[in-house]
Amino acid sequence: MHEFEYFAPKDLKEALDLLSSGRGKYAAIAGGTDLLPAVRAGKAKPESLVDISRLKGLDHLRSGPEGLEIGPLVTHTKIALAPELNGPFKLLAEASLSIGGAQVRNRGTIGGNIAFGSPAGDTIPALLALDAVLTLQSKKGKREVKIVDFFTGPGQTVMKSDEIIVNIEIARASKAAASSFIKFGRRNAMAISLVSAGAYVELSDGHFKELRVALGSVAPMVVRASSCEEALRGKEADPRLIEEASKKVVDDISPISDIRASAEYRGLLAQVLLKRSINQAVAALARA
Amino acid sequence: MKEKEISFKLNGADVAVSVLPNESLLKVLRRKLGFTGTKEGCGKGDCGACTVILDGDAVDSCLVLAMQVDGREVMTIEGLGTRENLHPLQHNFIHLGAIQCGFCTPGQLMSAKAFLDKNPRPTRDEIKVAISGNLCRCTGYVKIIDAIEVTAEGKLAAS
Repeated sequence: MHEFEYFAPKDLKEALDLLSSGRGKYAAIAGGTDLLPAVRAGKAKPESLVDISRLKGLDHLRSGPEGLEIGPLVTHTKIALAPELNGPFKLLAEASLSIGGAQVRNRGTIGGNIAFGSPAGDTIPALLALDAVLTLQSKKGKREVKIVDFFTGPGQTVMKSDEIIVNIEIARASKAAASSFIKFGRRNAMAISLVSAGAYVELSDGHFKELRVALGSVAPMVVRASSCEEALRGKEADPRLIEEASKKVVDDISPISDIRASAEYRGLLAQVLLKRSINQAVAALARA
Repeated sequence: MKEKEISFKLNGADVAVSVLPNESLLKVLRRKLGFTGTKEGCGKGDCGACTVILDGDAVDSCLVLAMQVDGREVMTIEGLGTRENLHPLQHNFIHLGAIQCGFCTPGQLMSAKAFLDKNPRPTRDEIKVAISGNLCRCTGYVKIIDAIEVTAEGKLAAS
């Protein structure tokens, strides 16, 4: 197996100093559920691992007047169960619950899911639909990056090798907001998504005041279904209009064929899941 | 690579062992500590055969670096019960046909134990979700779910 050194820094400062001293050859590890398989498959070859999993101050999940703040070390188990995510941001809890199985969810973190940057990363469509803002920190300081600007390709992000995510912020929603996340896999658990869809809607007088839908596994990165969003913004939240708008999804995605599904199937599934997630979010609002 | 001594609680007892940075908890349990009850099925977190309980949570031990358990508490299948003193989960797995080849069994039991400790009165659907990270190629899962359900009801299957 690939050899590496291991550091267990006692605080964030020491961790960031280590990552900086690694000059791109050190990698941060938390749950390791994506990183360790990648190292064992020869896809990642860090010289050293910097264990951030026990650093204090990075596992917060707090709701405030400004919105929600989530630390990178919060595990998928905790996100799936968080009462703070019971309202308009529910799709994030649904997304985390869809990941792996209990064992993976107990170790895997939201920060890791984002940083690994897979186009199939399940929390990513939820965070895109919520317009999350990430705070990255290095020895040199902090910076904020909107999640929509974070990814540059499959497994590629704007994060530098000496940075880690230290906060995920989701701005407070208006009252009349709801969300829904749907993932299709070849199994109900332990599955990489064939297609995933995360929808966030705000209604005003039965019309879409705001609509954000993100799709996973249908492009080199998770994408927003902008054409469909534009077709529906301001319009009535009517199933027929949603159906019509969903046909525009072909303009927003570029699915591939792989061992899990054909590009053609993914294209059809993307349209259906986009429709369903919007309809489910609208229905959730009607019930509220 | 720099070897380091770690110390942790294993099935209630203090252990100290020298490990390498790239050694998983799974490998250290099996090869350095002789606790071979935990199995390696895939080595990449897909099958759950290596499930152990770390600070109360079921985890895939192949995805935990040994160095990461320094100062923590680990429970393996060996800590669940003994031949003379079976845990109710083990009794029910045996007597309800939840074991065929037995390879997935330690992992299933660890997932079940960690789950019932947190959710002592689950629905059948909740049990299914709890073991969805444990693959079984033999049984078709029904009897495993039955055994966990019966245990949760506080019953012991007829021997």
